[in-house]
Amino acid sequence: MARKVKVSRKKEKALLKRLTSRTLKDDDYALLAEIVEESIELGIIPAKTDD
Amino acid sequence: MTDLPFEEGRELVGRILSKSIIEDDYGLLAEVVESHMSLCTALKEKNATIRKLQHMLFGAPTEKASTIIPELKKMANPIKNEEPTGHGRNGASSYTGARKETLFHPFLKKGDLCPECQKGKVYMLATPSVLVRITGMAPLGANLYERQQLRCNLCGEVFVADAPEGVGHEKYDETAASMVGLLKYGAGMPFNRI
Repeated sequence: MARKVKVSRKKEKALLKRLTSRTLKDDDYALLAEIVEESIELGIIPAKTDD
Repeated sequence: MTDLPFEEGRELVGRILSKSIIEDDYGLLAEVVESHMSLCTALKEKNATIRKLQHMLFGAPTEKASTIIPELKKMANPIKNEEPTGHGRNGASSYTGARKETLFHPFLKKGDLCPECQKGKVYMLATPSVLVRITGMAPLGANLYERQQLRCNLCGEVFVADAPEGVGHEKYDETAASMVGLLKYGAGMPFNRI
């Protein structure tokens, strides 16, 4: 599976830490958006439609 | 794993891009990043089998029909551990309705001199040597009783010989009726061929 988001585990851990402490940096938002989009695609967040 | 409608997912991405994350989003985002991390690690290690990924994405498949209804497992495999032993062929004792006939030896009896060694005496074994012979037969059998009739030449009275005992009054006895039923409705044989 080709990954769109290329980020190291270390950076992801740091992002998670900042996320839990509510201290996100400006650069984090773009990465976070990409992770959420990819997660929706992978089905980590099941994208349910109402139909 | 979180259930999130598609529209809400898009709205969440929109809020992230506009840097206006609300308080409720933080928990969800932390969960998403964590799941993403573990999934990417599994893919990176190339050890994640389909089952592992399935387990990771959808959780452990604990809700089986057999766990909910324990009797279901027994019903599916009722005698799995109690397989019958043996070769499956019937012994002589299985033919309980067979006609038995005792055959005596043509020239030997208990206490006679052994014809082989001419020294010892033969004795009777406790169990006979049993032969089983199975033959086919017609499903219905008929007996004809020709009764003699005598008629007086003067008065014209006819005297008929009595029927043997146990013959009964019915032409078809109960066994014949049941066999006709089986042939017709079990084997599908038409009445005109019985």
